[in-house]
Amino acid sequence: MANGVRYGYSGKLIFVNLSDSKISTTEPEDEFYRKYLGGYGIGAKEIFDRQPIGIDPLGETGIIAFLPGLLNGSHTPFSGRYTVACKSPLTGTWGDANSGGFLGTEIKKAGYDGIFVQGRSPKPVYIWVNGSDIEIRSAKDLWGKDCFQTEDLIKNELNEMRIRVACIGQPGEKLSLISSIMNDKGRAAARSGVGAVMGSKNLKAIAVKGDMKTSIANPDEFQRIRKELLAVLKQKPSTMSKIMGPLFRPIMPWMLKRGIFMTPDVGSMVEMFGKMGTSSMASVSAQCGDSPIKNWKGVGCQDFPMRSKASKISDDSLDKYKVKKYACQACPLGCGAIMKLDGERYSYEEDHRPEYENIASFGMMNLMDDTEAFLKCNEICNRNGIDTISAGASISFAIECYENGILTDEDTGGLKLTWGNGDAIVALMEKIVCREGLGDLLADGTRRASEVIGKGAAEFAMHIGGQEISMHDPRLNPSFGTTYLADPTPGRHTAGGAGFMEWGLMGLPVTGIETPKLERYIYTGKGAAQALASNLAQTTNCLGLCIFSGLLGPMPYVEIVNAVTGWDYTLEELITTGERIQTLRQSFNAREGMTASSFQVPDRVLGKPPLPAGPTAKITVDIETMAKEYYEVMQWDWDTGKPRKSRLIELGLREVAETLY
Amino acid sequence: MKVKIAIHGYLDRRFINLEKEVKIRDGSTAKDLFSKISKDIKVDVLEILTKGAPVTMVNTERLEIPKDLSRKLVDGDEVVILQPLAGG
Repeated sequence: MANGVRYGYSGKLIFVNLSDSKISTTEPEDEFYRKYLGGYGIGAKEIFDRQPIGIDPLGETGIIAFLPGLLNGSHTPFSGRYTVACKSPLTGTWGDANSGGFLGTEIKKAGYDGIFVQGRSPKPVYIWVNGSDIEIRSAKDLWGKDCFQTEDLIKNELNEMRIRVACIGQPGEKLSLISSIMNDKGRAAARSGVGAVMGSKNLKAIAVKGDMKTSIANPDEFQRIRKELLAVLKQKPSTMSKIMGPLFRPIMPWMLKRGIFMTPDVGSMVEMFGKMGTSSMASVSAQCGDSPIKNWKGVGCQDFPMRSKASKISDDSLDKYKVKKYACQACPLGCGAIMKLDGERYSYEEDHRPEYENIASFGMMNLMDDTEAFLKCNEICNRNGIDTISAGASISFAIECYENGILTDEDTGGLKLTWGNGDAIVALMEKIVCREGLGDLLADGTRRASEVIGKGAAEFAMHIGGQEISMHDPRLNPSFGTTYLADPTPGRHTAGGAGFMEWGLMGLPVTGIETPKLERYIYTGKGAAQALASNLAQTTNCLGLCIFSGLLGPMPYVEIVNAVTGWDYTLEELITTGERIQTLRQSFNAREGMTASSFQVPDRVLGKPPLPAGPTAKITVDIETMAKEYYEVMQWDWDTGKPRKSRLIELGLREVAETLY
Repeated sequence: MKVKIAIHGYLDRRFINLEKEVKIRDGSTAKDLFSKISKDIKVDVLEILTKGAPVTMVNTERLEIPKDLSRKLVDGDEVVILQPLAGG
């Protein structure tokens, strides 16, 4: 901030209490943003300070926040991500969920850095933020509608077609613990059960409109950096690729059979990712051991081979349903797409293209190579607001229970829950949305379903702390296991960690930091790399940047932040800020009584017993060694979960230290 | 003898999609195959394997690189190198 002008951030937070309809705003000091950036950084700070300990996440005192990243609205490439934060009703831990689209930037344009909602409305409502006018409106006619309908109805009611909406569908209304919050008709803040928290408040949606521009402290410098970044992206594919690529694409299978070889360059990579998104090479993930198969007990190259099965829900098999490309705010890559399905059994007019996680959770996990059914499952989740990872994993759990006689035809309502039975899986998804029959159990995820079912069902419930595990197998890249176990939001892959380094896939995202090369199956000496990667991931998320920016190499975070805000950040301060945010998230859990032993990675996921065949055969992951090293580097106590008092003070979290000690 | 080799993925900042049958001498090792294929396709496969961390398999059995480069191949073996693009 200089001369009263706030650069980069808006300088204002909204607080809405739905119990008494009170609306207020606060204007934090510059130092607040410098310490916590934006997104769930400021969310963690505010929720830690304002929310009592031990509350029911679905109770009246719970807070849910909608939080743009610091760089949302600045036109920094890839800066279209926002987060939702709350105490997770699924895990009882700190909870957050990240989404793209345009909502985060619209909140900034309306003049705010966050919308915090507490209390519970006696009747369904939505919040309408129209610049400085903030209103709580009746959602009586919206309750029961799906997310796509809700967005349309709100726009019509307000006669505002260019506003942005985040909302829940029936699963969120019915407090499904795997429900998500949808924005822009298909972008999902999906994890941690955030949809249920909205539902518990009778909050159907938030709608936002703004027209303010983000002030940039040093526009010339910012434009220089921005142009350099865009220049990398605008590298054209080589002439050969450019001419031959479109010609060869339709005959790719023929070419593969004959060993015809293509070597596209970086420009072609951008073109490929822009064309296929994360569905690109999803079938390769199935084959190489990255994707969990058959509820984590299968072997991809045997049970769901790349050529004969996985390819049916990957790459060109999906691309043919694409109607047009989709790019989030400020994204020059555009890995999204809008699809239309006009199949023999299933159809829909419009849905976002499935991401890799959706492909793996419904496809690989359930051995479902039925393209139409798979696409329909994705649409059901997006239309109604359900986390695809948890939904796909919950169905895998149910299939394995059925296979083992724990669930019967009577329990499933007559559905033959066998591996790969696309029609049964679609039907079960519909039941989950309506909370009908077995769907009512699965709507709360595998942990709670297994507790109700009993009869040994827990053995097949693949979750950590209640959160269904993301679709990257630690038996291939063990440090994903560390992230799943030791991050304050368990079971998540976007929380950052050394898994991507073991894979040699994406390096650390920040210019000036060398990515360590890690050996996959050496379990010692990884704590520092895990800490560095997770701390930097906090800065990525809180700046509102997309993790896929890293595909093109590191970005000059420090220079961007300084150009936008006018600060004099250093690389060291950036890393410390990441550590501060991560430690604050951990402190939230420690204050709630969570320790390392509160979370367990299922034996199967760690290779106990090891798989008998395939690329991860005979692998057993030593998760304890890696996680303990991470805790040690972060200065978190393994037994209590508490960050060390002296480190809290060094990080500028004295008030947190006073709460914990 | 004849073996099959398949390479799929984003390796060393380029896409590679290759599936072909290769004639090699009896008693050849995995390293011999990679050297031969590197000449054919003008890409240093051994360098890609040691610089990155793609999954390398012989008949669905993973090879540890560089330790298993000396693995002897037999007629009909299929050698696969896989590196997905991104995950999600």
